[in-house]
Amino acid sequence: MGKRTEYASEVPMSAMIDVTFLLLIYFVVMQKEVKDESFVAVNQPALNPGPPPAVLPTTCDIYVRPDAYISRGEAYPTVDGLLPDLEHFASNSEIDQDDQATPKRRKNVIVNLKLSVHATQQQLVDLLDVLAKHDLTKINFFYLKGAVDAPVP
Amino acid sequence: MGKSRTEMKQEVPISTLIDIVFLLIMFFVATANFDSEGFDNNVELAKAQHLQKMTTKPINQIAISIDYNNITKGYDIKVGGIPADGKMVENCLRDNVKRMGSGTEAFIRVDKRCKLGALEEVTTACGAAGVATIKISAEAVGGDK
Repeated sequence: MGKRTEYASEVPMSAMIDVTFLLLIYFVVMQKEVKDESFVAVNQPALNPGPPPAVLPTTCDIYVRPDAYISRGEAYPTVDGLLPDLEHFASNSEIDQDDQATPKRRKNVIVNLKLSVHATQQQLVDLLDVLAKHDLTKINFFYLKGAVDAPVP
Repeated sequence: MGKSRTEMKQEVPISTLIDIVFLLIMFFVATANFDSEGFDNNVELAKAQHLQKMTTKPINQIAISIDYNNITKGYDIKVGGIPADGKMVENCLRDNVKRMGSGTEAFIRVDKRCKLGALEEVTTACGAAGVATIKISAEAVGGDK
């Protein structure tokens, strides 16, 4: 009978380990911490607004400018300055028990945020956080433009 | 001189090593934070304590990311992970409103360094497309809600 050639069948271990380690290093380097996210819902103007409500809501206007937050004509460099005003608004309204979607939301108080396009997202979120702390989560956004949004001298 | 020396065979336990390395790879693959929901992981969110925590992602929600970019106009907008401008955002949202109805929500993730002009561009597009609810995202830290 003819001579049979025998082939050594081995897994190329060193190559496999190289590739495996490369994969391992890739996933270790690309690993990112998963961060929890939170949100606040903001009302958009309705396309077909219905009739006005029987009880008109109390409104609170807060300006967000690059250098300050302005409420009732007073400018505050940080959101902490707004706390007395917000506590006043919050204390004059009770929690809306009918609103199942947003628990702990005060009824009949609407906060109008007048936003400078030059202010930063950090300033906005700081304010939204303080508003949420006082359960003032019925929020409208307005954007300041042109001369209204000129830098404060 | 006539003493015999015992030779110890020293080998790296390759099979055990590979087992462990594969386990590690499987762990990192399983926990890798892929961009599956259209969330741009480069966006550096501002931190907030008292906002409502996001538990599940609603089906009718569109994720819009606004990433900080100090080279061009100051920000880059992405819808579902795809770069877009205000007009494209509006068209995309309009299509989604047609498909999913008026309950469509826009989940806007804005980098904390961005100017609010970026948010204005997106919220204006949302309004024009008929999106009723917009949600502004932040990174949840501590808090009780």
